[in-house]
Amino acid sequence: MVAGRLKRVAAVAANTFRETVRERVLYNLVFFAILMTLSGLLLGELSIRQDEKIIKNLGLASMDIFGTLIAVFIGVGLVSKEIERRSLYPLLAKPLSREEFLLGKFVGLGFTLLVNVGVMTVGLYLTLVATGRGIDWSLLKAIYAILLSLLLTVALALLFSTMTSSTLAAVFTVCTVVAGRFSDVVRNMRDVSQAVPEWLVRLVYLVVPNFLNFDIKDHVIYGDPIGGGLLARLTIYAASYAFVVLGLAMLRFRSRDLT
Amino acid sequence: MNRLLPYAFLGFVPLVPLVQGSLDRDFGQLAAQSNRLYLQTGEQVRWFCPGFEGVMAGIYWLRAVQYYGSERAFGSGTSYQNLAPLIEITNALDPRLELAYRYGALFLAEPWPNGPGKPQAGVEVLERGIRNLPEAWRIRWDLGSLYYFFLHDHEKAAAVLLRGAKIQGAPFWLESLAASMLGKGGDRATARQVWKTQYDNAPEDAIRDNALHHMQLLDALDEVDALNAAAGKFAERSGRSPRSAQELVGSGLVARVPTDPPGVAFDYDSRTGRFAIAKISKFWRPRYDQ
Repeated sequence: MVAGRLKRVAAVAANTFRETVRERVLYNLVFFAILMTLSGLLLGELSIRQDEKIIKNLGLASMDIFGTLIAVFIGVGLVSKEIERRSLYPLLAKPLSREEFLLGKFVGLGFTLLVNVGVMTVGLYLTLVATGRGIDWSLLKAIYAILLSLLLTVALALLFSTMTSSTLAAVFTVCTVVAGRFSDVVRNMRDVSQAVPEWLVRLVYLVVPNFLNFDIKDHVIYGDPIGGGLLARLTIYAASYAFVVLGLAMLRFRSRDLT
Repeated sequence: MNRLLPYAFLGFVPLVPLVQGSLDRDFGQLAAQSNRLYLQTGEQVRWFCPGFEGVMAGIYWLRAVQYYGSERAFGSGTSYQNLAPLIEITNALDPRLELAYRYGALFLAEPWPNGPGKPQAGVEVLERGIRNLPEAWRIRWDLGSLYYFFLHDHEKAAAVLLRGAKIQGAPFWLESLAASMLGKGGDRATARQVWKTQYDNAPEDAIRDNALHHMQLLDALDEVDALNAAAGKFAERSGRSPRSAQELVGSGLVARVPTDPPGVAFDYDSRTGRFAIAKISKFWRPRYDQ
């Protein structure tokens, strides 16, 4: 029963991965390669000995930005495209539940992002080695946190795509991600406006996904100690939030009239 | 016909670099960057890039270095107006980027035309650095040097160095530098010692180059003093100033036609009988008493 379910999810995931590759999503890696090559060649001269830091910053920021763009703009099309192209109907006629379909889409795009981030990681390390720097394994901690935030973004994109058109879903997802990156502003809202009730601030702070949690890039680059405990809590936060969002997406998708 | 149309359009490709080259010639290929800085504070920049402060700090730092270099090389000399905000933005976006404080202060303190000549702004940058990185002794070393060389406040310079010497990991020579500054004030030997210490200990090529430049400048000033003394002797002997540097060489009071370390001949004013660093020399600055 469970094995069969997993098999069906895996089949949708594999198909989603193939589809994203066919849509040339991974072409962003070419841009990344050019960026890293130019950084390696030019930054040493231009930055007065700050090239290593800037290369690391650029590499990690690229993973974050490209990954977020892919998660949002491919994520919002995962469901709506299938409906528009009417390719969803024969799929659902097979022994495949809507929940399995959604999960498969999530896992498929998640895998695409994993490959994307993985190749970028190799590129970043190659650039560092080519510019005479050592391999800094602690960067993997920041990369892992970025990957978690990307998976959460995919879940949000999927939720919104089950609710509305892909354009509006993209707008909502981008707004939520940006709001999540301003979590500190939300938390300190009462410093600016005392009139806002504290419970409301607290509620908004807890409801909006806190993407700032996953931004440990600078800490890692400066060698701050990032323990396994912190990474474990980040994983639990991302997983919990993503499960809730995926649950809502499944409920919405289940109630959607697809006839 | 239709099949050939795309290739006809592609035939315009060579025109793009050709026209660009011509535009560059008209506008001046080496013109300084645009002086516009739309966002003036780190807080403003932060609003546009939540979660990407680190990479933006890197980009603003590159921009500050390029801006300083382009203003120094091609600027009108009245500008450098964006240098302080660019450095402030870099510091705000990445308060732990030590070099941005150190170089930022140096850029700001350099006298015109090599910089905006704002040592007090440089002091503010370094003090900001001390607040954000209290354990960074090199920032205090730079602050002491800045007080010493640019503000000529030897007591403050020594006090800053002594505080820096107390930081764990600070080198022993900070204390001896402070003692020299307190003991001899602004004499050239102390200045040479301070620059030599920088030259011997700075890990960055640019800081070593800067220290070497200042040591050579001190050599040039010593040379000018020696030449002026020789010209004075010549005047005592012959009742008039030498007509040229060559005449002074011919008198045997100096061995050769004098030049600064890179080989630029010193200016000589036969009316006053005084030598000075040539205005075309890289060592010349308006503030020098020559």
